[in-house]
Amino acid sequence: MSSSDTKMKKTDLPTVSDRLLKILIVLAVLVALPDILSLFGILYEMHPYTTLEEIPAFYGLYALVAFLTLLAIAKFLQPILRREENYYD
Amino acid sequence: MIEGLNPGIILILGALLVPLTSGVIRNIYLLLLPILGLSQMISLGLGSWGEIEVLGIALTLTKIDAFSRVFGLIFHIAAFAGILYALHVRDTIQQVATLLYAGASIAAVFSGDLISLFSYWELTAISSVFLIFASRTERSYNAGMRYLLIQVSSGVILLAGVILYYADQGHVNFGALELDSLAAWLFLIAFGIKAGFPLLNNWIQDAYPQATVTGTVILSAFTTKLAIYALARSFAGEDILLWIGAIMVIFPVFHATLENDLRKTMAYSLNSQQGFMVIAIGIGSELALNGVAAHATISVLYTCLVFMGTGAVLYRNGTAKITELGAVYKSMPVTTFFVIIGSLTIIAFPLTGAFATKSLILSASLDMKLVLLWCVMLFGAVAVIDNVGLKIPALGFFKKDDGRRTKEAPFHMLAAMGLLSACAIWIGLFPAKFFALLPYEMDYHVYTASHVVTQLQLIIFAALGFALALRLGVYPAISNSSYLDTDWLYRRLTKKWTIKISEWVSLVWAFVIKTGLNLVDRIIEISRQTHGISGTMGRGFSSAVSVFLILFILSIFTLIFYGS
Repeated sequence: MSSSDTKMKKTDLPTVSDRLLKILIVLAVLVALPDILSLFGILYEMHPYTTLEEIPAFYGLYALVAFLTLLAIAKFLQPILRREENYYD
Repeated sequence: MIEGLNPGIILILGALLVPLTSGVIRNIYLLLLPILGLSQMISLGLGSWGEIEVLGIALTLTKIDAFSRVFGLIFHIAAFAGILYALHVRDTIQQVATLLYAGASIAAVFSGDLISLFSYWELTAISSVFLIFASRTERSYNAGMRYLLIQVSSGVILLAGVILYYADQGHVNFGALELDSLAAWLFLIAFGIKAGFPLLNNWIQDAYPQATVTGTVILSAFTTKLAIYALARSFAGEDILLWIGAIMVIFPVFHATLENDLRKTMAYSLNSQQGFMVIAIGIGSELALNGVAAHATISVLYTCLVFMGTGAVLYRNGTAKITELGAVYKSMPVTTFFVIIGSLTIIAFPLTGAFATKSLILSASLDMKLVLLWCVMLFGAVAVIDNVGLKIPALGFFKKDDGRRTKEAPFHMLAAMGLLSACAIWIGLFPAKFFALLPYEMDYHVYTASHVVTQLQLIIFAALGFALALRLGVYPAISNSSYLDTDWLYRRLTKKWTIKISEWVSLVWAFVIKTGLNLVDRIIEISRQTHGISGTMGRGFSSAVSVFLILFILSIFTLIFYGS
């Protein structure tokens, strides 16, 4: 095994352009809009099963919070669980 | 077709003739077997056949009901697609193993009794391990041995359960059980091992990425879903499954986020998706059980599809590790397209199958007012958007161009991916037609405005979070590392302690032996000193002294006996 095999090599993650980010923000606003409008009884009616779902854009907000929680826990666990690639060999 | 023949038997017996064929004939023959099996299943309809008695035990060799038929259907489709994907493989062992494994899984689903179930259960273990060994590396051999050990243990535990169950109940019919006996607990553990219950799950992430390119696709379709089928058949409505399922949904997603190997990422995600189905089994309502059958079907489709895509990348690039891949989409645009379809399906994007099926389980949980579990599943849904929906395509296929170019995947691989994509989209477009196959009738409308909007919110906000995390550089770094999981317990801790304990035992043993030898040496030494030639007891006497002693003793005797 050469020494380079045991080194931890990080990869470059893809870059996100301003344009892509803007598109995503616009889309996010668009899909959150029906919930806001439904507060005034316009366009569409929400069908909440739970009181949580009565919060406007609940699913969007939940997704953001859940995603951040996932990242935070994963980043917290990363240094604890990380070993070299051939750890078990 | 043969009346009452279990469709799985067609594939099992068919496998035995594979070595007699070659070339194009073999390819056609391989593809024909799942089609024959499927037509046998359809021609049989619903009912029971082959009720025989062996050693006084009543067995039902073939039993098809609406629930098992859904699993049978998807298993046949997966077998066909898997074989099509693997048409380039010129390895008879893998081809025979694939057919035996798929056949045993189908036969197990259509088993009416526990003895037949056990037989096929073990056959799935023994046949599938060859798909791991077939990689022919030391690592795959070791992973295969661990896989075999765990899978066969599941079978042995199942057998113990069957024996206890028969002793208690006097029959071996495969049906609903209560968790009130040792036998039932043994069944739960045996099924739980194959389903990937927490702490019993690591064989999935250990073995699947070590199998061959095509082997992983085949492996991912059957074992875990067969376990879901068995759990649903026996333990529907069992509360303990709600919490086991919840842990299953959450625990694997962190590893899936950090993992470098695309196939391992998918293996973790598969495990999390199993959790959804286990929760639904725990809910046990008709809607939930429909959800189990439907989501298992879709899960096979998208899991196989993504494994096919990542497998094709491995096939062409020699690696499926994010750190070693570049702009794969430029070389393999069609594969990338199908992986995106798979990813969209897995994240339950509207117009894909999982949009219809995942909502059945989520709605079933809300019907039962299980809001906490619903939140857990929603968390799992967001996690899978990150792990598979975004991470696999973005980091696996759309990385910075390093100038490397490979060929697109072979046509038959693309055809297999196309077939599964078409199925996933078809179910998404016409959910009502698919729902008609499910075991219970239901009046469920998938495409309500509210459902579409809420699901899009979930996906787009998660995507926004993902993009922001990449942009701000807070997304966890992906490196060529491995991450500890519960298999560390038996691959490191237990191994370390076993070695340590054996060292202690040998130390104690050496001490006992040494002390014993020293003792014997000491006894010999003392004996030599006392009884040796120069020892006190070994010394000789002169004849005068001897005569004197004898006369002295004689005179004492004479005095005592005759003197009085």
